[in-house]
Amino acid sequence: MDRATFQKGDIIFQQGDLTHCMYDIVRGRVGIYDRYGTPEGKLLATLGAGSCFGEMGLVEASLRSADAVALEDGTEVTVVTPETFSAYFRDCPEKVYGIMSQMSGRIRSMTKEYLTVCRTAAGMLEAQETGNRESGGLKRDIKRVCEVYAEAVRNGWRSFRDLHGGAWR
Amino acid sequence: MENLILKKGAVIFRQGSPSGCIYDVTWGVVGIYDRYGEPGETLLDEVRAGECFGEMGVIEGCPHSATAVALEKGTCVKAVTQAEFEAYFREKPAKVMAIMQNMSRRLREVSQKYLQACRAVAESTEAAREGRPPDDRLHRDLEELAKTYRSSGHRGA
Repeated sequence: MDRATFQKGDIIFQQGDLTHCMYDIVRGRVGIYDRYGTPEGKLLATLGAGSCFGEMGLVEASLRSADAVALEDGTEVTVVTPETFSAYFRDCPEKVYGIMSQMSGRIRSMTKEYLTVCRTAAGMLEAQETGNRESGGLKRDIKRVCEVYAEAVRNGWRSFRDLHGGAWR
Repeated sequence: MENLILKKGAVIFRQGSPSGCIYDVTWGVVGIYDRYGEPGETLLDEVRAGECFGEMGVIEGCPHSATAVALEKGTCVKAVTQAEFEAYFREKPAKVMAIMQNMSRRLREVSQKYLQACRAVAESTEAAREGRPPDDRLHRDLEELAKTYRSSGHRGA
């Protein structure tokens, strides 16, 4: 199994890096940041031994959507690539099933969000057709959708892929 | 673990039904449809021997989001229940990877649909605010979204 060791402050990967692997933390801690090292930089999560990150990068080559930084000296990770996946899966199948469970959870919540927007669209059409005023609830839903869309336009595709927990995935 | 041998056109599971199995195709082809048998019927995917379908249900236990239909006479699938999942896939890392790749693709697709839906609502709202009548395309987009909501069984938040 491929291992890599980092010292405190080492950058494991940066937003925009094209990679095709995921990381399983063996020892130490990793911080996931949006725009690390800039005034607008924000810590999104701290992960410890036993946690995985960057798993979407294992499934297909993708651009990283956040920065991963080692928080301690001697932070050690297992690097899992498509080539080493079989061995990793043999060693810890429950971790892989955990990742699958998380992925399907994200699909479900994204689908739910999508259907909420569909409901909003249905409400808008009904108000138009009946000439009735939009209800307070509908107005709130419309406002929220417009805000989500405006943010997506500002941030690009990233904000949509990273909804529901896991800018680092 | 059930081994099913199917006639052409046999429905393996219906959209909206509770799920309990993932299916591994060992022969033939399975079609995955949105709104099967309805005016808006769309073929989403064709699953061939060596590939799996129905994974969402067995991993998170949610109802089937599409209808699965055998497309060829003699299409053969193995039905793997949640309880059998780990044992069945233990020695099949390539299939597990393929399932995860499917899930990744689905996440990307639903994210894109969500983004387009938000765009349609936002643009319609802007048109209304500016006193412009919604154009035909926008109106059609909203109608499609409304239809999706009505046929979904209201699974929104």
